Amino acid sequence: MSKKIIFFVFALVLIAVPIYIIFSSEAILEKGHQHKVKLEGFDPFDPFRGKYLMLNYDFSVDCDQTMEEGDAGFVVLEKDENGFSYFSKVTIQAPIHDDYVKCTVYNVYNGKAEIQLDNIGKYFINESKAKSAEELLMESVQIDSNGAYATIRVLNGECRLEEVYVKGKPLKSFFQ
Amino acid sequence: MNNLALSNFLNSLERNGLLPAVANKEIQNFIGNQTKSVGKLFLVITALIGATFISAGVFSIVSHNWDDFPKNVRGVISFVPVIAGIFIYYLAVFKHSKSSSWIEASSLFLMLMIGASMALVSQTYQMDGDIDFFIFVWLCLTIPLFYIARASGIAFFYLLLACKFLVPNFGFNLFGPSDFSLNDKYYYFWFFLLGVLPHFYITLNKQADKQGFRSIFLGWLIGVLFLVAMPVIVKSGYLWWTTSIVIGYYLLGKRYYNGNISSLGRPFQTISLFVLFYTLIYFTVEEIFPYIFGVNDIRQIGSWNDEQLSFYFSGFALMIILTIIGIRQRLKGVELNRYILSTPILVLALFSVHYIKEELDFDMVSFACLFVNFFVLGFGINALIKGRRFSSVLNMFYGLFVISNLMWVRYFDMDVAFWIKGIFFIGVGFMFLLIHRNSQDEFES
Repeated sequence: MSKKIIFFVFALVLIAVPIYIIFSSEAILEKGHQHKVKLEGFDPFDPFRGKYLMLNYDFSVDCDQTMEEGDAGFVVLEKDENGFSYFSKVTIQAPIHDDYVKCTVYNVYNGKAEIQLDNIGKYFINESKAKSAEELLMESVQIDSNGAYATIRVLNGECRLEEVYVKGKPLKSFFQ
Repeated sequence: MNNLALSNFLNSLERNGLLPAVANKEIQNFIGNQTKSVGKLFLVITALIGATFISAGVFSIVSHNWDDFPKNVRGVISFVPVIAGIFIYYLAVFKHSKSSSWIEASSLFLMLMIGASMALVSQTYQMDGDIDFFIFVWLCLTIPLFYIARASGIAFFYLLLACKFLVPNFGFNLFGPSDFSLNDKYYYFWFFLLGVLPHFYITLNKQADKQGFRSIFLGWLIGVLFLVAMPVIVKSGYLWWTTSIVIGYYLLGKRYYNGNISSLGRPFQTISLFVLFYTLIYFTVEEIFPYIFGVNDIRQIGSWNDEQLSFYFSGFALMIILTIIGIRQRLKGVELNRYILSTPILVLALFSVHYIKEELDFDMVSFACLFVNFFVLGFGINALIKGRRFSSVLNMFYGLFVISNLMWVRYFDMDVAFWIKGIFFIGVGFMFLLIHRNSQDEFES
């Protein structure tokens, strides 16, 4: 195989990786079921991707008796009477009817598991808006526990953060 | 003396009839070639530093987060770093393939731009993601860069990132660190190390025992990193693996690097000698015996998992194979150090001593330690003699280092009456003065 062919195959692979991530994310955001999840936020820094708000959720959930630290599992999402979703239990088998997300159990105590979920914990935001957004979010959470929430999309065990809402409006809309 | 001054000096020698014109020309050519190769290295390093700063700038621009743009525009922008990286790499591979600076800098730039593009996409789609997976994909995409244009400078960043899979997991609570566990993804490090080894082999000059800067750099990088990573990436049989490092590095160094002049130019031999020294010093301390030989106690083999079993026996097999290769080479007349080659036999003998004590309650550990003391002493004296014979001051330094360290360790842990200890160490001091006296004529004349 000539060097040119190898080079172009390699270049295609390099471009294909971001394309794959974009398409898989778009699929989840387009077709996934929407859930509103309560949160609170603060403002650290990522050396590669800039400023973000770290979003905290209630990740302490009921779990199977057999579950151990380090296990991979599936956390089920259920809705409460106010329309907010919450993480209800962790199972080893993927549920058939409910929405669920793949997770990792990093601690188990008294029948509860502390779980870790990818892709909904950081809200990347423009550097000039990060501080104000954090203050707005904190203020909103302190006044009303339902005042700030995130919408996430869930599809086939994968999830993506869609938007963060404060006082019923998208967070970014406060800074336009 | 700098090159210009040296050149003027040689010309003046020629003018005064002290140096023939032909010899002057040859010497000046030699100096010119030396300067050129160092100059090339300077160019490569400058280009690499430039590529690193440009990449850091790109990462900073990425970090701004251009969230005023619509998502589809940001999606397209995400490809800009990687496409720019591919374009620069294309220029390097097809337009400047003879230039090491272009190849090295463009490879590094592309490697970092792959990461920048992935970071941009994940920022656009709010994916905090799994950092291990992010690095895994990034490094997988970097591997071809070692083989398409054979860039070596990226190995530093590549292996540094691979070290992420060696970092232990720490848990924290309100009062500080709450738990600790070794990284269970350590096998990724093996994978990425194996990914760069063929590149390292390709860069070696197989026809000679002398290597250039590229192979020396890779030798140090791979040699040191494997040694440092070994306690994490090997799950049992540490003693076999350590002994394999001593023998394996030594044989590799002898085969490919022996013609290099300084110890800096012989990475594997230098590392091997230091690992050997520290391993042997451990064996001379009686109290450490149960800890060294008690780790992965073979009597507990029934309770070992597959991972431990495979590392234990592969380490053992590796040590035996390398020892056989070394002995065969020595029998064929290759000049190899007999002390280094006999280290595995010493390790096995000490292992036997430990188990005889544990199983039969027959204690020969003190005797074994005494024997190792003499072994180390012999090894140090051997290095001194060889250094003297081949006029290698570095070898003599090593011998001196081995003997003096052994003696200092013994000074602090020797459990005998102080007056005997005093007389013994006065004797040791005089022995060093004797070595000084014997070498004085050679180095002061």
